[in-house]
Amino acid sequence: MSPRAFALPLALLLLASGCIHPTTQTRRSSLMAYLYPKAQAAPQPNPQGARLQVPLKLGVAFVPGGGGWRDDHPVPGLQEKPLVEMLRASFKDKPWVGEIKPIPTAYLRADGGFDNLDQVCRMFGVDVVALVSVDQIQHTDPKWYSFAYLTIVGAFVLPAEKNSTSTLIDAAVFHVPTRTFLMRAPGQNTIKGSTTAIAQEELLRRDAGESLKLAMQDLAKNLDAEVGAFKAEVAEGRRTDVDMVDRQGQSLRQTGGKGWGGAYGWMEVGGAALALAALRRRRR
Amino acid sequence: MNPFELTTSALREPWRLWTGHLAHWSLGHAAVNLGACLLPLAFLPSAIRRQLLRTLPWMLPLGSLLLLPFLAGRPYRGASGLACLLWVAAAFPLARAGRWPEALVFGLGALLKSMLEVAGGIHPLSPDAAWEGLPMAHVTGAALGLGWGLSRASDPGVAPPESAA
Repeated sequence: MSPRAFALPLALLLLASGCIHPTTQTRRSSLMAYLYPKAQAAPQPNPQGARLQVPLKLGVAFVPGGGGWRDDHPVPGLQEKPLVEMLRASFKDKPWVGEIKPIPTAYLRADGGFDNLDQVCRMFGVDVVALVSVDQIQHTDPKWYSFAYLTIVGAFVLPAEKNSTSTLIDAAVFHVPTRTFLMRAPGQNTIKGSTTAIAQEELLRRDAGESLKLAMQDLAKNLDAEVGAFKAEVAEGRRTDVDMVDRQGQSLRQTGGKGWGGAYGWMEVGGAALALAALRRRRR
Repeated sequence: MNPFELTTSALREPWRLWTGHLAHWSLGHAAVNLGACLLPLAFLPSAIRRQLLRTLPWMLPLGSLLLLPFLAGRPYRGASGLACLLWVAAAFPLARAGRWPEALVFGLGALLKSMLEVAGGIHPLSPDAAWEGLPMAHVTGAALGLGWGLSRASDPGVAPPESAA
């Protein structure tokens, strides 16, 4: 048999082995690496604690990756602004938040720490910043019939690639001037699907963007619940390092976060009813 | 933020001026206020009851507006201001009809409650309730009830139960 006779099957085999190889892609930005670079100790929070003016002016920034995870992530829609807009839309009716300002990641230096945060907070006129870090992992596994890629046509028509995209978003909220950690909230999402070998890259890019969007929606929901829990902690005095002050200058710790109510007591209504019933009986 | 409670944003969201009296913190809170509202109405003849209820669409927002300066940024829920209004207002036709004991129970009861809360800090709530009592709600309600009663001083009173029957 001539070498040419081997050439075509060998080429197909190589092509197929390239296609049916399981792959994993990760994109990650680390909050700890950004805030505490070179394993430096966390700065001591101000002993006087944080005094938050409600409604808050909240800055939202995506933590830059070591090499800039955005740079190698060409997913359409994975821009920060639409994601922050989503967060802003979720909180537009919440009384505790007055304004949400997106802080572009380009303004943050990798390993910038609190010094860098101080600068951007002054620039954007905010004291409280939610730092959003993203951990996304994409797995691709070939299905059993992926050997059909050997036919070349199979790579175009058979959805023999199993994909899963998992995204974990973490928002850590800090009062930057006092270096006080306020709260955190997670958001997560997993998308699964199948695709042909040819469309795989495109689908992975689309899933990455979609999963990030859904994780952000989950984050908005969880953040709202966390804020409720945080306010309750402050109101009950369990967070001694934080106080919240409203527009009238009233401290949440003093009011206990309680609203006003007007009520009659059961004794008052019951007593009046009994007295009136007694009067009616006497008249008869 | 609950969209129905009364807050200072009622100036932008005017429905709160009405709904603030309907929103409550708990079922128990709503039940006792409902009972307090129904009690004086049960003692009035239907003609006067209708007259009184017809004034509520503008008395409720007026009461809310009077309350706004006292909210201090906190939300308010409860129909007790309305109940105070009804108690004081019901006292007038009852008194004109000579039904003094009932008139005193309602009129003096509401005024005494308001005064004790404002001056004495005495409130029917337990201190660990999830909300705090706002005595001014009762004062403004009583004042509106007083206004309604005085404006109808020339109206005939309520017939005593014997003759009504």
